[in-house]
Amino acid sequence: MSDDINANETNIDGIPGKGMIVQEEGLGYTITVEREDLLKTATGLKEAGFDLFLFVTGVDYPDHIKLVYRIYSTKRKNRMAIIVKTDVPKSDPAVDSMAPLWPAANWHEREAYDLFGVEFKGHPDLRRIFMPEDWVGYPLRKDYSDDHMLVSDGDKYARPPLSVIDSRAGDDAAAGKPSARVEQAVAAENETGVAAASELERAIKDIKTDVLTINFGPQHPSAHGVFRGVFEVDGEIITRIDSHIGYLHRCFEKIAEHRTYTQFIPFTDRMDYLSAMLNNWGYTMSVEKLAEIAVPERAEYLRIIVGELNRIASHLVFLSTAAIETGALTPYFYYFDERERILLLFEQLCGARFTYNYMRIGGVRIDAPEGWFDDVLAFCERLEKSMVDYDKLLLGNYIFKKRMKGVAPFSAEQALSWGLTGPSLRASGVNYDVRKADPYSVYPRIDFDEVVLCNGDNLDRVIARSQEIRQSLKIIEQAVAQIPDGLIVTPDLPRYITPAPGEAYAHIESSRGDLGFFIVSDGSPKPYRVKIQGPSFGNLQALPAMATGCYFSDAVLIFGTLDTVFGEVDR
Amino acid sequence: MLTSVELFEFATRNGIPIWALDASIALLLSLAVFSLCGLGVIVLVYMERKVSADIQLRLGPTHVGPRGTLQLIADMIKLLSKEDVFPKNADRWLFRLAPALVFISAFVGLMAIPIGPRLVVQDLNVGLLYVLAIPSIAVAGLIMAGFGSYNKYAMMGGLRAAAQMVSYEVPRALSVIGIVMIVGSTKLSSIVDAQGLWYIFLQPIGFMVFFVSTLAEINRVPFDLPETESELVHGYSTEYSGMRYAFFLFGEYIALIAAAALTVVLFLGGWHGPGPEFLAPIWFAIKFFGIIFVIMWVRWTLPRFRIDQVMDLGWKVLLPLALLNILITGIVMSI
Repeated sequence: MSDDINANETNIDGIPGKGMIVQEEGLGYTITVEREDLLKTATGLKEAGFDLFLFVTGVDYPDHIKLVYRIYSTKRKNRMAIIVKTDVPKSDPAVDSMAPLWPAANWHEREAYDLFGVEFKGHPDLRRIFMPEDWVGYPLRKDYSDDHMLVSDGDKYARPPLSVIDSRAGDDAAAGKPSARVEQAVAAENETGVAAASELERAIKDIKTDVLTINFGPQHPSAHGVFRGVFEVDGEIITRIDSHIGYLHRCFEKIAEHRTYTQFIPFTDRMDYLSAMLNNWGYTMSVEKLAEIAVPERAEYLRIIVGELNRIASHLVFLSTAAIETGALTPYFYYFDERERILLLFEQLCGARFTYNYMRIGGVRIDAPEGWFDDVLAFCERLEKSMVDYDKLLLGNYIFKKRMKGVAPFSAEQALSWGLTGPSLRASGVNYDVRKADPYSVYPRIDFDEVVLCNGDNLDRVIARSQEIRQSLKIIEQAVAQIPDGLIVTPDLPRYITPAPGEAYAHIESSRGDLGFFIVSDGSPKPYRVKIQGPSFGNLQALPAMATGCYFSDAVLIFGTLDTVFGEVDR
Repeated sequence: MLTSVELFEFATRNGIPIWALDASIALLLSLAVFSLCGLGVIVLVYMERKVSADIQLRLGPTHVGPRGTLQLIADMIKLLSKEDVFPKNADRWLFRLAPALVFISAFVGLMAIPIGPRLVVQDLNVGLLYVLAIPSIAVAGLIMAGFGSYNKYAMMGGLRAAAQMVSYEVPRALSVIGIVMIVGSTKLSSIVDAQGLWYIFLQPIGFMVFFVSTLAEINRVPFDLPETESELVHGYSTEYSGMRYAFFLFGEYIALIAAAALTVVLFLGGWHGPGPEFLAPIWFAIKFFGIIFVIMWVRWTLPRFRIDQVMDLGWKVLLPLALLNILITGIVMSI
């Protein structure tokens, strides 16, 4: 937290339990409440203008599970985030759900339920989210052992019958059927005598139309990874979407507990694999915060340069897939040609094209080779020119605009309540960019603009990326001009980094949104708990809210503009 | 060339029954058109690959044969050697008949299109009606494929194909009425002969409507909704593989040939061009490939419409324009 918030301590007026708010090292404003008071506190926070629910997670201690919530306020004059902590006993791990207050809490609570077994009372749809429905045990608990993994031990680990799983989806589905809707209308009409069903609806009733359930994925050309959406379509219109994720779940958070701090860096590459550098950066930054390690300036600039290059590469992939989903195959090749140049730059820098493992705790792995910065500048100049052409080819195209404009408009309130972050949120008109809202590294020394648009429709979500590429180019050019000579990694770091017991949270603006790492140390060389707050996960849960009522073809586009990477959703 | 009278005399002199004569002539001509078509498809697939590669900063096929010209042959051999996958719940007859129906309906349309003076299999008096009507049978094939595959994506693709092709049939047919009014005949060779000034200049609105609805009729971008790979995987042909799939591909390219040839005949003066008469087919070919190139160019540049936008364009824009064209033609002719 920056100093000016400290100076304006009065600005946290209106938050319930004000006296209990403390400034914790590594976490910022923190409030610890009893679990009975949680709902009261949360309601107060919501009323006090905390509108963006970022995550909830658990930390498993021998006798209790500590739940950690992070909620951000975009409305308050003094923008701030607050961390709410509460303890639940293991004997009765139940707590009130936040989903009625912030719809975004829905999936985050399902995740905590799935991995910690915390029951959220009042949650609308408390199912496992990553693990299969019949999984036994809660993987992120410390007493979880791997012999649970094979569910075959007779009665001890009995599977719930499949019909139980199916019927849950089936009941809701029946209500959405057009014929069922018309039947209800006719029944209401018979009771009240008022005509409730139109002529057309009567006609439809006689035809007995029905919704078609389409299984979109897990193997589908447009599912960016392994996403399964159960789409119910009435003709060409989507009436209901049920998202199923977890096909790529590797439980990185559990793996992190069995690796030293340094060993976990390569795993972060494999989460959001389209912007691996930024993942590296977010993780190393939070470890540095936890262990209080300073980073040399040259390393900070190198991180900015590679991070922004990686953001450009990721946005280029986004634009090319947006083109492909509308049926234009050609822009893809142009965007990928540019991306290829970025990958070549990375290859020159660190030898890898995709999963870089470039950053180190306390700096970066290798310095840039001779002439590399000139290549970077030449690339920036080239891309700046060619982006004009590409915008004409794709964004200026009449059909593309017709397909994208006005589709699934998301207002700022909707976007915040569903917990969108990143370009998708800014397209709805909320200026929340971590680089500006909570500046880190040397970003304050660099002059660039947040890309904030107003409509929040598909077209704006695409334009936001296209504009951000230009801002990133601006950042890179300034960073290359400013970079000083010097060390690239803090010298004399121990082989095993052993931070003092404590907690730290650091977040960066990844190409998809607010990427945060919450790390708990117990003083050993391995983290006690690593929580990864992946922006794709938060963004994806808005899909049903956005796409219901749209055309089936548009649902694919909306899914594309949310820009999810399943390595990060499932982690 | 023998005239029909000479042929008839030859047959009666040698005691050959007339039906056998007719049948053998028909067979020979079909074979000729068929092999021409096969050659055309090979050329077009190669052209499509090279054109798209050029537009997309790629090289296209380079390995099989000189400059990759034999790539399609290699592909055909591959498709032939593929296992014939038959979905478990698919409808036996619909599933098998569909590719053949699509292929045949595209193919028989070519029979009435003249590519040079007297270079036509059957110069029908109702040639224009015939070539507009026959390709519509392909709709049935696509629905059969979609319905018979027992696959939801295929089903949606088939239904989209039906909705789209039926909608675009109407403006497409109306757009050429202006020409019929001017020529006073639906015989394709008469339409070509009547073109001193190409009808693309006399009937610009008609040409635009015809060209756009032709793209929709042959399911090319921006109207390739029946197979939209981004949502319907591969539309009506999702479940097809091997040779059955190849037949769909063939049908698609032959429909492209027929559509481009018809455009040349109706609007670009057919085989007319400077120079002696034996150059006529060459002129035809030049115009034909020009049209094909434009269609490919469109395909590899534009995104596609959404289904409701396609319907809107057909019924709310193209149909009124086609009617307007008839009105203008009528007014101009009566002055």
